[in-house]
Amino acid sequence: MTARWYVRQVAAFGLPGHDHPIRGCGDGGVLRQPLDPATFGGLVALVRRLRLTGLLQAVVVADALPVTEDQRRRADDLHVSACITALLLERTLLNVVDALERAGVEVLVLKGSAAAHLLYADPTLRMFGDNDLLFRSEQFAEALELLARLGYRRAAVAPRRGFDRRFGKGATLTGASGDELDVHRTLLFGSFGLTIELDELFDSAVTFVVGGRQLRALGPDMGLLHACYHAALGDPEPRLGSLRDVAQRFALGSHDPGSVVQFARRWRAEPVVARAIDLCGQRLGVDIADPVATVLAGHRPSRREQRAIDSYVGANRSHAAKVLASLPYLDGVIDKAAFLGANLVPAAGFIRSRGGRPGPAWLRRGVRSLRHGGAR
Amino acid sequence: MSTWRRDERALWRRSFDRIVILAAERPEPLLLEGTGRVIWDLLEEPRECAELIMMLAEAFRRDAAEVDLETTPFLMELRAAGALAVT
Repeated sequence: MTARWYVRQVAAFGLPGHDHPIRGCGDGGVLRQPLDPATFGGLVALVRRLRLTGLLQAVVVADALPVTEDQRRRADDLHVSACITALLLERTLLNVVDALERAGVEVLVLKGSAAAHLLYADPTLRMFGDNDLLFRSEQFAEALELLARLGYRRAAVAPRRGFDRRFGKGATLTGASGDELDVHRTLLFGSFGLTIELDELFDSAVTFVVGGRQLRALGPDMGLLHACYHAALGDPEPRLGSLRDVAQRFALGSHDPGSVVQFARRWRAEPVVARAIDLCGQRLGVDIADPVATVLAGHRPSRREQRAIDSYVGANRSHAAKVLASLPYLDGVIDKAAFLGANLVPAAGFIRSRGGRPGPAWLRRGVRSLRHGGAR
Repeated sequence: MSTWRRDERALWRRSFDRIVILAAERPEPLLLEGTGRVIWDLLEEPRECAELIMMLAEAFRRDAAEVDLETTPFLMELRAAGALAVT
């Protein structure tokens, strides 16, 4: 509990109103002495797990957290290790994007390196542990083939042929050196991913520079929406780093609030944005003061919207729950039937990749998970 | 007159008083601290060699000729390591 008190402050450090010295959890006054070894150890463990080493560095360098020489060295070593991971990932990113673009595949970088270079004057503040790429639906299969030739393997296959292009979120690939590459067609699986107008993600792309090369990323409006999706629905326990991305984007103010609200309404994403803003306040301690918050923060999810949200972060996050919650978000009977059919009777390879047994056992498993809940 | 600059292909991050660099096509990262870190910071923009030496001499309060003798080989090492480029 104590380490969580401090890591929350680290995660918010540098945001408007949050550049003050770290406060102690006892009386809430400014810390005058370094943390005791157990508490600092707990903080460091959390910072490492949540990839907040850059922000911890910022806190210490700004003298906002008193530290012993040993504690400073630990924080430094931890951050150097995180930096090396990020740099190796950026090298991989450059090689992969180069190969894709030479083959005529359009690609946007999501989160990770894009967030580091676009949201911060010093990219060291934003660490990351994998690369995420976004492709156009019509190029998704081609991108996967090319990545396979580069040595990337996909663990979980699509439920059926054509599912990726029509409904899929994407896939997680593993490279020959063990690096993880998340490839996306939309921003998330199911309900809220199905309503995104995907071409719009590419319309407003911006560029950033890594190693002398230009890479492309989501524009400010799309980037903010994506950050909200990820923070609100990406993990049952919202990650502080994801919330920091939302708060950082709002603080930067590069987005057009009217445009963000318009997209959120068109994509039926008002409850997602509202949840992200609410979580920034509750979990990060950062109140978002922005016209987007003024319009959307008070949004109360309908029963359908709450069921959709629960399928991502509620007690029952099973695949079956997501599939059912997604149906109202699909247009037309044909799409609903195709989506449902692919998930009720998927290919045997898909079932095995999810640890199941092909045949009636798969359906029984789905029914059980609907009744009794469970993780995805 | 030679001009030194950071190799734009080098990827890098800062950690406290150290700079972590992953030069293009080098398998291992490079860690700069002390004088190496100061050189990296001074090369935020390209600098002629003489200017760089003068700035280092001023920063460390030392004779420019002595700094030149020590620094030039170090700059060549960083160039060989892919961190710096010279024109």
